[in-house]
Amino acid sequence: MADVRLQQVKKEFGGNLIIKGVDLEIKNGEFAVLVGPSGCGKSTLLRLIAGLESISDGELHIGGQLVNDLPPRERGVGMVFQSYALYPHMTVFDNIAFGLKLAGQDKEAVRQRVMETAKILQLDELMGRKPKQLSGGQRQRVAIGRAIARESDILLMDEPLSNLDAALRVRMRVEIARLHKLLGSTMIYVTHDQTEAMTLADKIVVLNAGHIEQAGSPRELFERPANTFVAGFIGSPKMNFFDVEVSTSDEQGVQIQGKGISAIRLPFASTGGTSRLTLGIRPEHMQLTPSNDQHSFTVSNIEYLGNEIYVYLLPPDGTSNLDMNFPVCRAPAGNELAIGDKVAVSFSVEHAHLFDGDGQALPRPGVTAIEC
Amino acid sequence: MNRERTPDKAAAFKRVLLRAGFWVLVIALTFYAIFPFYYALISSFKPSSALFEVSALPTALDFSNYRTLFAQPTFSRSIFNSALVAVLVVLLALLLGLAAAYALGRVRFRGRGMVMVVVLGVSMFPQIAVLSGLFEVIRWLGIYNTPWSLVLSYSIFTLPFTVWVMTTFIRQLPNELEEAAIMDGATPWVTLTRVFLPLMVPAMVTTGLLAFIAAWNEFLFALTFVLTNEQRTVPVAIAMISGNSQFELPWGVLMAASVVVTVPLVVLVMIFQRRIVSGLTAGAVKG
Repeated sequence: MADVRLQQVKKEFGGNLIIKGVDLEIKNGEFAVLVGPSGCGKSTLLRLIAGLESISDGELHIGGQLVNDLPPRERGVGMVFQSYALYPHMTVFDNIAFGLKLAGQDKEAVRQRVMETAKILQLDELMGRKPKQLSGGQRQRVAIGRAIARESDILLMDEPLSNLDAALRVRMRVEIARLHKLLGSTMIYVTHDQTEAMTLADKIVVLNAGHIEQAGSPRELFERPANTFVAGFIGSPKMNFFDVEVSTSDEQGVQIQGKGISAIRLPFASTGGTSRLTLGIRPEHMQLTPSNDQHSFTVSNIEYLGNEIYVYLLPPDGTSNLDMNFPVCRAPAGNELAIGDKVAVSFSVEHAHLFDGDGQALPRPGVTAIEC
Repeated sequence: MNRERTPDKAAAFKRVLLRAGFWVLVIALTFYAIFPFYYALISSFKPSSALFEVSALPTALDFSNYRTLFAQPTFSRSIFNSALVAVLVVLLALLLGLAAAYALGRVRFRGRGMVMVVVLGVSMFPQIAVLSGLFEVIRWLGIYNTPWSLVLSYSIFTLPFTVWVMTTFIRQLPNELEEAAIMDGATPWVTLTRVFLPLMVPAMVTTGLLAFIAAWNEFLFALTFVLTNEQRTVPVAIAMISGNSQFELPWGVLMAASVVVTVPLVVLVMIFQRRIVSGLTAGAVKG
């Protein structure tokens, strides 16, 4: 069926390697989301799959067939563009019917198929309108309708919700999830919005500078990030990183210590051969308790979000790293903390991540809860 | 309240003054632009006896000038020739312009900028500079004294402009529109004719109209490349209208002829007026 397999796919633009050899497998019916910072190549990768860009090197298989040299219309893919790209001079009906007509279907079949599509997307009432008479959400639905009308096995979406306002974005997100279940087609979705990625995906593919940092289920990426990039990219506010030093390490675990982090034993098997490691803890996994110890953190700022607060911390020596990455902690809104308070940080061991000097996650043999 | 009235009055007076000044200017400009044509119009309806009486308002409704004009054996033929040449030039310019605009605006290839500069450069030669060379070409092609000689020579000056305007216009159309068409399975030709063409109607009307006016009014080439009365276009035909003796210039007939050739242009512009305006404000094509 319509699984997508990329083998060492590369894309070069004027001597620059934009996609640096990507291996990826997306199963039939899977919802894959490509995420990454701007310029990481996620849109380019999508366009390579669509056939809008040619592949410089490597192989792209769709449904077991090598499609490197096939034009888009023969790949069995539909695409939803960020700006919708509806044909402004055609009615909603004609927009959806355009591809079907070009495929040479007879009039009655086209009409029937367009009507079915319209029903799925609740566009029945709008068939005679032109795109300029539609709201953003309606245009979005027409764009999706155009992509699914031809019953392509694979649906590509390039930041489809980024032009919508926040409330509509949430509704369309739910809508897209419903569509995916209904159609059962393979979906590849590009976004920079984490919530979209986490809520929609069966598989998230984190891209950075043209290569895959990690691919896996949302839960896998959140709970077991493979490296500091993924750890910092998934989750909001981002994961806090602390430089720590290894004091002892054996089969039982690794003993670490750092500024404001008192000595603690974590159940990791090896240290990766270095004595300097990076400890990662998510903001929601840190507990703050008032402290008088001068080696503790200082509250530098508090952001009130209604249901919770973000507490920004200043390390014990008063200095911070140059990129102003203050550690941040999520706490319940009722918390009595004030700016300038000294606080001690604690966390449960199963929520701690350790990364070696290259930013790669240390393997953990098994999780044991140890209070600190 | 009363105390505030005074500055209010001054402001109101100033507003009225500004407005009056504005309308005086509008009337002056309109008069400047319209009067020659208006005077030709009323003169054309005067009998030749009344021709040299100066009057601002129409004094007679006499069709004798028009009768004389169309009694000339080749004048209707000249109008037909002009229309034929102008229509052919417009069609050719739009067809080639559209195809060239797609290539120059949408397809990346080496030397694209160079082609654009050359295209523009061609239109910069003064007509008189290419006249003799073009004459030889037309003789060599065997189209001397046919409408084709004019179609060819007018296209040389019309195409660069058409290509430039349409290329600029087609570049403004979002890239994703073309990609959407590709995803829908459209070939470049289908994309051009069924997606781009309908969106380019304003640009095509604007450039087409300008090409038409240029071809309709052209004199120098029409005079040089056409020999006989049967093949002549209207501007030259008007210049060739002569009186009974070489000392008489038949003003009335000339004025009537001027009106006859101007009216089609005015009608065309009025028909396409709204399209032209939307052509000038185009770019609002965002899907």
